[in-house]
Amino acid sequence: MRNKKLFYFAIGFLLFAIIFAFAFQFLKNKNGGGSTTGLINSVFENIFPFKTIVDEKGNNLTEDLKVGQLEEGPEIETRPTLLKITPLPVSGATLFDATREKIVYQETASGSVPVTEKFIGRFIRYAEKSSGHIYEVPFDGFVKSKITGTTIPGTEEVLFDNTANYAIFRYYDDTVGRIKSFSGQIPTSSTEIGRVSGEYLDDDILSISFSPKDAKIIFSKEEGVYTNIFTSDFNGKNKKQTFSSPFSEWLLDWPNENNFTITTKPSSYFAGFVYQIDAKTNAIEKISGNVSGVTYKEGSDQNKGLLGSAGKDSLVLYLLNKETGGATNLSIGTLPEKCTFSSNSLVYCFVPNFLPSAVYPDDWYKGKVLFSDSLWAINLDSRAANKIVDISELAGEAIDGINLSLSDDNEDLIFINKKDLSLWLYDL
Amino acid sequence: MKKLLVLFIFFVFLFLGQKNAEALSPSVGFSITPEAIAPNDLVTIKLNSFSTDLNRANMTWKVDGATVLEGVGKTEYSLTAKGLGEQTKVDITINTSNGIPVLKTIFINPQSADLLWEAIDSYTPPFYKGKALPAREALIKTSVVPFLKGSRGTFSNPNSLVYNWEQNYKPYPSLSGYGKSFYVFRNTFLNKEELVKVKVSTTDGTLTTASSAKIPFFEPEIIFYEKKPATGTLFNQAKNNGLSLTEEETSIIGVPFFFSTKTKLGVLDGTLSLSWKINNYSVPSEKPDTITVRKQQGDSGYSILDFSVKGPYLYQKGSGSLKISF
Repeated sequence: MRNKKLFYFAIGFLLFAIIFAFAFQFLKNKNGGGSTTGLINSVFENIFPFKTIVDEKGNNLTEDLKVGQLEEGPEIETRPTLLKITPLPVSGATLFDATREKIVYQETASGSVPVTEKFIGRFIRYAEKSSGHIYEVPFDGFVKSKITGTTIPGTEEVLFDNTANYAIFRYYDDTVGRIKSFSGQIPTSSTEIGRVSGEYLDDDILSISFSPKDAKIIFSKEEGVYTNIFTSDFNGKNKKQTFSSPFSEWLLDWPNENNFTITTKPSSYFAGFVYQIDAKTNAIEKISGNVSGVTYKEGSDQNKGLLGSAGKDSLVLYLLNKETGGATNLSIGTLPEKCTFSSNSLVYCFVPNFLPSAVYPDDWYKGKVLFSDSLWAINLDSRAANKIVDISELAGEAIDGINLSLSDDNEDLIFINKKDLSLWLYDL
Repeated sequence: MKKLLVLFIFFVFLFLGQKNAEALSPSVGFSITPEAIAPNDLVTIKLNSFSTDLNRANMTWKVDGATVLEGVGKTEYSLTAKGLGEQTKVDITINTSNGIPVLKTIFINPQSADLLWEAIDSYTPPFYKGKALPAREALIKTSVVPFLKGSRGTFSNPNSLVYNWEQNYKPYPSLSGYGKSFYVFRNTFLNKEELVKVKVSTTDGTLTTASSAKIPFFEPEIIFYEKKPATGTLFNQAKNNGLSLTEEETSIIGVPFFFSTKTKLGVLDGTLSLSWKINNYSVPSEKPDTITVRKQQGDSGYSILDFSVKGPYLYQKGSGSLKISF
């Protein structure tokens, strides 16, 4: 009798636990509009957390070591698919290939002789938000080292040029109430800690972007009732005005050597515009207009761009054909700035697994909502979109991917997690 | 003398003949919708006349030389405008009931202008990538990016165009004119939205366009962020849903989004009145917008932090609360 009571109690408790788990997950997903299947999967993942994760190619990601964090100390022998480079907040990062020299010992008749050998290596450089110090992580061994000791605390953003030899550190100096932009050259030696040699650009630069090719910049600043857009060398020399407008809320980009793009700062409540300025003639042309919450990003292919439209509970991504003006809805809800262009007609995007109820992009920019993303690849020719991996699931934490940087051979991707500004590397 | 007299009589008859012809030829007018034609717009031309019955007139419509419509009473025709600055010629022959033909030639020359607006005194933190929205009584600046393209294919210099501004259907000639490509006004608290319209034209009036925008207004918003001594304010993640104090102390910054301030970047320029309370008790803070909270060793529980902001205008006030768990 007593055993029977125990048995019924156990069954009842189990049923209660399952109902509770569903209810909990339902409430968790409530605002995201997730599917019923997704709900069931989420519940079972929470109860049985050891499900197998596979990527698009069918590789079992849970069997092999696929997630790791870079620690101080010895070299990494087996690089995980997803590697957290640093858990500390970073204000900017870049991925680049560079020719370096290393000393190798060659055996000769008279013994080991040191010989300098050149090699092309892949590196990550990032700036720590707290100090502005720049660290370098070579793919050969993944042993990170600090390469600059120039301290600029509280940097809000650090931009690197395509060679990672130049960087612009941007922060707000609240003692004087000004936006400061320090532009400098990063020392070439990665074996000792150097200093960033450079100078301050104009105060209160509103938006700034590096050229894709040279160490040149485009930036905007208010001068009286007009906002002027200039190009210059990375250190502000050889400044030339390229555009002027009474309107100040521009976001600048320099996607290819022929054009700049200027986009009105987005809001769900404003039908914005995207323009292109010819880098040689300064002629302005409209790319798109009257788009709610407009955001835009272009790759090196001047004829195609990603156009984002946003609103209440809505993010829509379009592929824009600049020649025809046609826009194709890619059926993916993300922002162009969560994407990066490859060199082979693919675009990689972090796409929220579900969209919390919010006003976009405003609430995301304010930090009121954060996403849990998957990584997708979109073929710009066929417009086919495929999910590569649920990066948040793989990481074991919510990843809201921003500041993507892709290697030239499209094999490696670094990104920052907006949630905590940590830096990650993913093996494509 | 005789020759002069003959010439005089000739010109008199010529003049009278022309006047008679004009007196017999009916007057035909037209309207074009939309008034300001943008590229690829659907344009409708409607003929009208008070001096002849067009419903009885036989009309022939030609577009760039090709006949597109003809028949009795065909007083209306629609076409798609071409690209920017690409002209379409529309010729209309109207054979009125009294047999006198009337010829009309209309040029459709699409132009465009984008009307942008911004709240120039609306506060957002430095590096905020979103648009600064206007609270009631904000200072608004509207400006134009014009695309007026002439027959030679060149764009007119925005600084050499004529701008005529209207706000809520009322023209402002004193703020309009040559080169006046922007217009600034302060929203009055009675207006929940503002309608601004601008007409842009070349000085000779041959190229013209118009644009308008409806500007909504918003409640200011207070958002809390954590601020660390070294990393600064962590704008990536708002803390309005609550903060767990994991360290001995931390600083909270209350950001008054969209309140009007004297300087766009400076929330500490004295325009705003900021105050903090912890569990309903007023507390001083090291900076008006920042407060440091500390937990006593061994304590656990939560506190409620209240931050109140009063702006310079009637509708600009607000408060926010933050639950801090420790």
